[in-house]
Amino acid sequence: MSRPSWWGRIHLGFTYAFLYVPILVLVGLSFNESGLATSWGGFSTKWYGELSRNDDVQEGLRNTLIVAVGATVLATIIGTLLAVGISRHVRNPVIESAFVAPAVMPDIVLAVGLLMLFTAADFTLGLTSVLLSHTLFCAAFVTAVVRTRLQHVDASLEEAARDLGDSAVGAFVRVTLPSLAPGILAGALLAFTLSIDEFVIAFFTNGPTSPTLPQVIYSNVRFGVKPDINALAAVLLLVSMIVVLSAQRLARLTDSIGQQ
Amino acid sequence: MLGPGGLYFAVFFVVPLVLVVGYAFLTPSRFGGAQRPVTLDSITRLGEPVYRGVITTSITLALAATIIALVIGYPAALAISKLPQRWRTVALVAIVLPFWTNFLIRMYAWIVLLNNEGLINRLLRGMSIVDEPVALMNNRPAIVLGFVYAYLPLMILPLYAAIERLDPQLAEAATNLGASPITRFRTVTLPLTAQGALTGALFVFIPSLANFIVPELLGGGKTATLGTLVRDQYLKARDWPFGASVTMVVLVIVGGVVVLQGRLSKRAGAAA
Amino acid sequence: MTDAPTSVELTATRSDAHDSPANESNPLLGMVGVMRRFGDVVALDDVNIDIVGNEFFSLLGPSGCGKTTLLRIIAGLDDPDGGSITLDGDDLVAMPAHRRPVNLMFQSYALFPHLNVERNVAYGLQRERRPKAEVRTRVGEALETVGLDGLGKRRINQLSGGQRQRVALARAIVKRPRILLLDEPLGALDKQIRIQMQQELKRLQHEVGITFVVVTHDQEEAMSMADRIAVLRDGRVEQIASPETLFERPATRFVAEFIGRTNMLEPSDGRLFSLRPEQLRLLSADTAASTGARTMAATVRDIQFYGGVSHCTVQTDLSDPTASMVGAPPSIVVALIGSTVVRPGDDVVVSWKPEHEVEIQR
Repeated sequence: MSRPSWWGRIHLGFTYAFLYVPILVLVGLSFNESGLATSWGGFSTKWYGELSRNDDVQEGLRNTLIVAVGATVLATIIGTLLAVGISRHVRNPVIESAFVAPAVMPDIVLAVGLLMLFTAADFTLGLTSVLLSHTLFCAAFVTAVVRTRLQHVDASLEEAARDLGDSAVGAFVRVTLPSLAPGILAGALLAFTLSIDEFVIAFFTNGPTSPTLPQVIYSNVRFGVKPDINALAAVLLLVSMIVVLSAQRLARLTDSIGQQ
Repeated sequence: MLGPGGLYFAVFFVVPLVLVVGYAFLTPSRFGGAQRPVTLDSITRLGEPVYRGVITTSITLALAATIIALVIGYPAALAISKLPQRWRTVALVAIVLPFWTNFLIRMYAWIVLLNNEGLINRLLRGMSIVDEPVALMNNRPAIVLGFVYAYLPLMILPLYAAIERLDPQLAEAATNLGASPITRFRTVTLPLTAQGALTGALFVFIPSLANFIVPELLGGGKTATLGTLVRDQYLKARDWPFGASVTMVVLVIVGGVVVLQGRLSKRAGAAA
Repeated sequence: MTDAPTSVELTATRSDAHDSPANESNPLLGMVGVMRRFGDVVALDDVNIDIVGNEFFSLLGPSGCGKTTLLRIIAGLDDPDGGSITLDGDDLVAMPAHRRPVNLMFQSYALFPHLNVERNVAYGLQRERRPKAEVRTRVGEALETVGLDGLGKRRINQLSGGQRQRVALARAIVKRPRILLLDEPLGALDKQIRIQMQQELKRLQHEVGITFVVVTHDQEEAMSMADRIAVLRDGRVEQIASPETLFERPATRFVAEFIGRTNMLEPSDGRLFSLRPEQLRLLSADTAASTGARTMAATVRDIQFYGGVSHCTVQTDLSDPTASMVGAPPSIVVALIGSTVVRPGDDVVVSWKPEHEVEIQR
């Protein structure tokens, strides 16, 4: 019996307000001439211009993209292989949970562990160490996503292909992989988004010379805010919105294709 | 198939975990890192009142955030499940969207709202409700608020999934047998969605426990939690063994909570 | 009431000793002019049905005829758009769903998975705030009545389909409702168990004395269990009568064709007759019947053997004068007991008594 309850809808409204008002305030401030929360100086887009001229932000963005793209590619490959491997060869629930653990565990545990690993191995901290760390973190998510997708894939299809003469690898590439494609894509998108936003692991495993964008934001927020950070916030919000909505569309599109 | 991935996980996941456990039993070196001799000092330090307090504080704050998230999240998930079908996806996406915005930006937004020169204070003074700025942040409630704000979507989603899975005929049967709407909720809906609530609780509690950003940005750095303690040991005090042992505490608490959730879930375990 | 004669009025004028004495002046459940629309679709259209106490009643019809909608409206899980429903003379629609003395047994049973058998059955009594001792006693009695005593502590997922059905039954009857509604109660069961349960339900109804209203699309089921049946089609009532009356004197073509099989005769004067396969006989071509029976030449086309009975489809010889006189269709079904010696291709003579042709108002 789902007759709409007015109290319920009011509560829901307040929940949305709670979630969105803070972010919308930032967006509003990004257009504030004075850039301060204390006074409204009139509508202006100058902070967006300032943002594009902010070297730290630009550099952070560049570093973040390098890491994100690299980590996404690696994590997607590793995650997909793992997903297939686990579903076929692993029966032990302990081992299964070990592969999803990095996704559920508090990020600081991974962060310090990886820091100690790199130090013990005498590996210089920098973008590479961040990339390797993000790859692990994201691979756990990709594995989980692809495994879910795997449940919808008929295992007998690959067997049929091999019966028709294809090799094991060939059958996998030509038959299973295409049906997994929506899941792999979703996993990749997830990995990319996670890496771009990831702060804690990067904070611990990065060197001093090439901060990622979240690290730049952190310094800004902690040590002194230039108003163009509001513009950055608005831009990031817009990007998130586009990513989430396209992921949604993509999911629905590929779902209907995948449902052969 | 499992080869490359398994190897990667072994190197970049298992080894770091082993290191965390291992370092906890070593002695700090001068410039970070660790060395022999093996000692229990870093472990026993945890028993000191200061650190016991940090552990208690962290658990309390995370628990408070979890409960508040549950109180806010359950009615919200319920309300979404009663929306007409075509609005539900939109409603859910709208819940998740803020979660995909950068974490730091979202905390920064609350700083803008809460600090003494921030929007809320300005509003209060502007409406002459107060004369002096009210200290809305740099305290513990602000930390809890930050946690709730950060992880509320993670509470709502599994709750919604559990509510959606309920057989609507069960509610009808309860009504037909004489249950008023409130009784129906108490005796049928609530017990059967308990598992979803437990999952959501886990998704809020675990990240809140070891988070150091929120206590720093919204708590003014005045409250020491497990997260800030770990960060300080590794990046300021350079006492890695102690940092490792605190990290182990985090792992133990998380492990314990997961096991607890599993047990409670099984007991609530109703429909297959 | 209305201008055009409704099916109910037709039935009333045809009523004879075969109908159970329906006390229409003082019904337990009276439905008048019930209407329900879903957007453009009319689910119930001017439904008038009276159900009396201690009766096994059935709502029968193909899917989409509105029977489940009607059931849900009686239970209070849906509201009618028009018309009135009274229970013991009181307005039922005005009562909130959880206060109606009407209990529903769901097609899917809707047993609470988080409660064991006992607690499921006790649920309704607890909502009445009965004292614990009373609840315990009545639950025990109910479980005994449905044959589940001793299984009180079992969890629902440990029960078989038949057992779950009994729990659902016990849960509904333990509250001693004025009316027990059952939505396709036997649909999920295997055939053998279904036949058993049909007898069980009849016995149960007599034992507890509560009026049962069973919704089903299976006419054999309705015929074997019910005292009276309301046949519905597209939201309207076609006929309300006892199983025997529905079979021997169907009021409309739909009822004639829905209940069992029939052959429709359409003589040239525009009238319509139903002739049941069970009333037909097959004679070999050279045995003439002279007992006042009608005969007609035909050729055997197909035989379906069901064990106890065979249905023999014959192709009518339309040049035979009897065929054109009665308006026989090109093919006719004859029911024969057991197996038969005729084979496809044989020439036969179909014979029947004229009084078995039942006239149908269209």
